Amino acid sequence: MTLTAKTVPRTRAARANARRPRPRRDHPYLWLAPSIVLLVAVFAYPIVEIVRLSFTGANLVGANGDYTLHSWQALGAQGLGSILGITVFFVGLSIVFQMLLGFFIALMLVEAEKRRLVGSVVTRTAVMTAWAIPGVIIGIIWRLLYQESDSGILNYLSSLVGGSSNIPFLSDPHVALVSVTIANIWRGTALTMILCYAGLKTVPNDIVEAAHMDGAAPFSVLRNIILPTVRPVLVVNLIIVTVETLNTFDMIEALTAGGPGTSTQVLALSVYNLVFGQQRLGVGAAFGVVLMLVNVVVVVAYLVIINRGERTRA
Amino acid sequence: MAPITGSERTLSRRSVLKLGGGIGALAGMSALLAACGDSGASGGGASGTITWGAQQFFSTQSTNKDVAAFVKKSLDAFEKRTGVSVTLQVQSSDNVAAMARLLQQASQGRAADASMVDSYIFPQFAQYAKDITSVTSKAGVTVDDFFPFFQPLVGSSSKVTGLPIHTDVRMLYYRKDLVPTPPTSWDELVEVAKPLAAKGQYFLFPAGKSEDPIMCTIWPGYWSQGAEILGDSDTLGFASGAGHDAMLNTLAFIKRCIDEKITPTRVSTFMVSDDMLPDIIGGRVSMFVGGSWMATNMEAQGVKDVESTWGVAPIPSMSGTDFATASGGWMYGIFAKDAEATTNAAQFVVDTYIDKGAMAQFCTAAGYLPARQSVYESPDFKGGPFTDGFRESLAKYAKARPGSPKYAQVATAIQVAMSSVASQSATPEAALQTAISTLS
Repeated sequence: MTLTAKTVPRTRAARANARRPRPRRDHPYLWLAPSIVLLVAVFAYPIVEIVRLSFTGANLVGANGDYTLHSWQALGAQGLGSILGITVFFVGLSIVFQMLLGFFIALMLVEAEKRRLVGSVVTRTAVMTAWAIPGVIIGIIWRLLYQESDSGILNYLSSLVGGSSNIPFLSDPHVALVSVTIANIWRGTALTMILCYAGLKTVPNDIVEAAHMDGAAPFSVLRNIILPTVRPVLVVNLIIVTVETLNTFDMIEALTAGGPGTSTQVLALSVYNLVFGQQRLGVGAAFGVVLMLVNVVVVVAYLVIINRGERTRA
Repeated sequence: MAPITGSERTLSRRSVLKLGGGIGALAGMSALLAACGDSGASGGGASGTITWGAQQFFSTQSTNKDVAAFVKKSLDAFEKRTGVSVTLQVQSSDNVAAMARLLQQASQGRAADASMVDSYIFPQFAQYAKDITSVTSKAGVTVDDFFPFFQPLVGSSSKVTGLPIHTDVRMLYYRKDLVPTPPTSWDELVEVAKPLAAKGQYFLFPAGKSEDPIMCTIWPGYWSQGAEILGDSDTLGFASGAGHDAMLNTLAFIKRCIDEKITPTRVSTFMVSDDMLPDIIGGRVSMFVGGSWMATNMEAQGVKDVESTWGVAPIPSMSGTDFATASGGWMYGIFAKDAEATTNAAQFVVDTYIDKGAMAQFCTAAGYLPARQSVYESPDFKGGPFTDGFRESLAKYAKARPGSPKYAQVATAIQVAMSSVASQSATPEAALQTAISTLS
């Protein structure tokens, strides 16, 4: 028979203890207070303030701070629909390819390490370097690569293999969006690779080896052993990559500044342009709230889908 | 030690220490937040100390050794002579963010005592800038010595509030061997450029989504037709009537250059004049519209015989007369809180950048054009090969952008319109209509 809390007879001393007021050190709010103060100051207050500002016509020096719906009404004229479409394309494509490439590179690295292949550390370091470079620098690097003349590196390489030496990487609005997305995939793959690499290191070798000995095909091992094991890492990865990509603007600002026209204007860049470039704090804040809502909706949607999957499997 | 006893509860020494520590931590955090809020605050409160907000290139930390040496020498002399200590606050290299932040600080009385401001945005700072007439008149600096377009920014003879330290101007650069006589009208330009473009030597202008491109490509052509960007009460100059036609003509000229294949569509990716350098170095350019700094930068990038190969001329206009061009530059405003710091900060700026000899030496070291007309005559000033041409355009054709806060919105809308037309993703009519809709 096992003893449970119910079956343990309460002694007189225990009952007396229960009645006695808890010592001050046991009150959780005392311990939570610093964190709550910090959270309110650093997160809650700015969020409330941004929402408040979005209902004003404020500019950067605080003028026109009267409450109005004008900032929200101005979203349409500022091209919110088109900006959302561009953002969805940019973020969607970035996530898919960053996840696939990052996971694939991490898988290759782990396999290379198992086989003690030379160069795996160098490869890992090289990929991680992309993650460490600031977005503005990445924008400048890719501007040099995409330059549309014989001086452009990619155009030159294209001409070497018999292709055009004048591919409009950044001047054609449709190609520009793809070019910007590719640059972002290059930048973001590194983070996915790092996280996946850490996840793959936790996959038990003995189970994988046993599966191989039982004749399981590599794809079957990947699908039935590796992916379920690294699933929590992939989920965290997906959320981080999504939020990070949604909030990207520094690289795009350096690469195209949202142009030509508005063909590479994503939500985060619009917030930056409106607040700092045009000093329209009210409209910029409204765009900021939209960006925040998109972030929240995407993350909540992921969590709901993931939890539903967990429950189904259980 | 016995615990401290209260009426009902007991406070141990550990509890007291924890409570004290907690309060201390909160106080520390508050102090830290307060300090963060005050970063960049005016140091003018302390007598004998002034704060100096400057772009890195213009400061003692300049990447140009000559500029750094000159500014350091002037700073040391000022500190030695006056006993006033100057603290440098380097502004962000992201000009847009730096100016936005500075505007916020100036409105809250927290800007550095002497702060550099991009001249086009200075009218927004004017209400916070201090009157420094006493210092400028003592130094013999007069408003009418500055180029005409700068004079409203400097102030009036009875109230000086701004001090421009250098200027720039947009011009047509042309290869003398390919274009013996520079074109004056758009028709002439197309006629001259067509056979050259067929041989792979293009007419370039920046048309990316940025500020320098509209100063090179839009405003000169638009102004040359007699139109204004903003009218009375900030009404949009190109929303209707003659202004609308002038803007449409200007955008249509960009389209014409692309359609006639004298200009490649890649100009829509040029964010600054310097983005044309690879083509210039590669010998793929017969003419281009760019800033006055391009001559220096071409030499720095290894373009041979710039003076003998290239010439400069006013930017061609639609009619071939009534030229116009866009100018800008950096200036100083004094935002100190008290009279003593105001005088000291103004004196430091005058000694280092505004005095005739100082401006001549600074502009020579930096390769910039002086903002004061008399400085061009100074023996201390050594200009570049095209300085005379630049000076003539500055005096005759240069205009400044409107200082209204509305300008930033107008500029963004026109940048989008220009790059859309240059990339052939919109017709001039559609691009202009979109710009007007965005602004209305």
